[in-house]
Amino acid sequence: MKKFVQYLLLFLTPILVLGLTLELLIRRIPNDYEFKKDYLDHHANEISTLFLGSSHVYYGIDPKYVKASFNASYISQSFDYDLAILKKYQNNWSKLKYIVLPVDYFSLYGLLEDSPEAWRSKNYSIYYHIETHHKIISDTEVFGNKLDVNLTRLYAYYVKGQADTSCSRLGWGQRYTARTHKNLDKTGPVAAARHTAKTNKRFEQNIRLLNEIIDFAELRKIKVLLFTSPAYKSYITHLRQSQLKGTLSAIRQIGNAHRLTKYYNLLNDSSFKANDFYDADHLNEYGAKKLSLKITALLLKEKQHMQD
Amino acid sequence: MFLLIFSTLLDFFTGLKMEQKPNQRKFWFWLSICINLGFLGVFKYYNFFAESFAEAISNFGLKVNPWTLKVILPVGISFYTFHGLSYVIDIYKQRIKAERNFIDYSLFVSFFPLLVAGPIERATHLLPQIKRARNFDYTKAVDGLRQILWGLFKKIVIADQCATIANTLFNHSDAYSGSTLLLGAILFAFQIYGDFSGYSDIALGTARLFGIELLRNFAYPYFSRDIAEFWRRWHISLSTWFRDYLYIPLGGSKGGTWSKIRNTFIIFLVSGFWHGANWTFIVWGLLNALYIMPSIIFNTNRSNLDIVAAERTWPSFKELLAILLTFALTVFAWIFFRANSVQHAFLIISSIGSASLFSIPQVLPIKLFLLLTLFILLEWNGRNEPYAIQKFGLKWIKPFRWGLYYALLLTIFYFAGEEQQFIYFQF
Repeated sequence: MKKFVQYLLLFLTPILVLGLTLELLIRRIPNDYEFKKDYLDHHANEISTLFLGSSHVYYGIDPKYVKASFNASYISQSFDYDLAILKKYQNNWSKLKYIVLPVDYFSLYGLLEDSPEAWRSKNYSIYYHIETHHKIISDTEVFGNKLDVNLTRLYAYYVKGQADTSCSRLGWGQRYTARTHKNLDKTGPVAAARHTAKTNKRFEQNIRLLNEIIDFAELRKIKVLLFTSPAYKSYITHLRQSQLKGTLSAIRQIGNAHRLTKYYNLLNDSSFKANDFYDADHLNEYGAKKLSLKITALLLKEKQHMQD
Repeated sequence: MFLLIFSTLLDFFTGLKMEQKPNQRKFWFWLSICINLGFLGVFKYYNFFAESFAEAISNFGLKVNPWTLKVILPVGISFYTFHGLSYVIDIYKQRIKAERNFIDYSLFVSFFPLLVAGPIERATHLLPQIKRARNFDYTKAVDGLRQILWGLFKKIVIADQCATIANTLFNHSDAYSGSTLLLGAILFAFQIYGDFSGYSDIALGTARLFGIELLRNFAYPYFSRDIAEFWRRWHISLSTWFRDYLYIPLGGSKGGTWSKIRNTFIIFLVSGFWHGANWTFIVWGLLNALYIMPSIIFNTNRSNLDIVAAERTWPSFKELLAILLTFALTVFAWIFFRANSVQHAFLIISSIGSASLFSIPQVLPIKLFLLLTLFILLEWNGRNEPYAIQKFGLKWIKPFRWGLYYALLLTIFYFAGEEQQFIYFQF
């Protein structure tokens, strides 16, 4: 037995050393999660408008057009992580007046952990120090990504000097540009199919999470602006009507039940044209500017409404 | 969990009762059989029968909305039920004595490496090993780790990589040409082999670390020269279970050709049904029964007992043709096993049978082809051993041997990440 254990340790030592070295090296690569967490650590008490949500906001709202705002959304970020971010900085939101949160076609029907992007949940644990799930092994860079992905990241940073950070100083995703746009007619049906739920099992949970976010805000007299993101017609026409109606009716009910919460449906907003989109459900920099200004106008309208 | 505990308690106590009260042996035996099969029937087959019945009577214009169970199939139920059944039958047939130590018996039923997907053990084989004092054996433990490593390679590198493509092709079969779907069926054949035999290797290797030898489940089935040989080499613990507890009690090969044909059809039908409550599995079972029929009728089913080209490096041309033909038949049957429904299987087959079979496949995974070639060569090289790398590199000096293991581990890590459930967990 002793010989077995000795040889086993001897065999495993290089693997463990290599694994730990890789883990440490990867964690040192600057990335969006770490950047956003650092920003909130230092500036949460200066923010008056906070954007949360998924890639529709990450690429769709540029905070430079909205005074004292920050975009804390990210790709596939679901309500559980939005709430966790709010709670993490609960003592720092001294100037926060508005939370802007998208409720899209898929928002009430899934969580990050259900999606193909579930691997991203480790980033909240490692970089945000947010623990919504306790999966020690998968909450590591080495086990959370495929080896070739990790090797590519290491090569890009340590050899070519390219960091993983792609967002602006205020948290806006800059990769979806008009220059690199995708075919809108082709991406619409694909995205709609991907966003169409196979089950309703998360619906109640997401409603509960959304209500928790609103309760959290109301307790601090923070207004919540809910909206459905604009999308291209090829996406909208392929949405399942029952899922869309279920979502819209649930948000309207929530909006009506809370005095400080307002809802705007921008899904079919005619001011967004084909050249505003990167793909059928994501805006490019032109669309992002348009949406950011629209949100600013809506926030102003709310402000005036409250003053009246 | 409740079912597992109940089933364990039931079989343990009925075993004791059969011995203590010989005049009530039959009663306790049938009680155990009925309850065990009852649980299996309710949890695994009830919905299938209810829905099939409703569908059948709808043909006569009657509409029924059957009440169906909304429960997930208890993990491992098919496996631990068969463990328990073999134990009770062996006591009834007075082949073994009833176990008196409940802990030992519970371990026999629920030994963790085999609980969810086998191999299906026998009390005669596993219980004596559990009861015997075990001393740590360095050679066996190292051998166990080597088999686990090979099992992980089969699962993660072979099965999961094949699964990524096979799943896409089967799930969107209408979008692909005949040649692409044929490729999908071949990849599924490697997927299910890598998946299930990989699991079995991990289970056997893990058990060996504890000083326990489990029954061998796979013996290079894709190198079989006929279907009878294939079934002696594929899921061996299930095939032998059906042989010992169903085929032989039905009369086995005694009683003439018709009796053999009937019994063979019964065990393949039951075997198909064991895999799941779906017509696809039943057709798969019947298809295999048809394949094996010529060798049953002409009494050639035991003509290939040893491994192919056991004393040679390469097979003869005739052997190679026989292997390829057997593999082709198996791949054809796997289409039914994998398809969502029998209709879906026929659509895939008709597409494969169309002119598009002669087009260049729409998917050509070159990296995967290279991996599969390497895998087949390693399996061929190790075909005389219980698993392919058991003796591979054993005579090399340690740095080279460890280098081989590191290379396998690195390959596993390289391909890890596409999480795929073990196929046999659903059974």
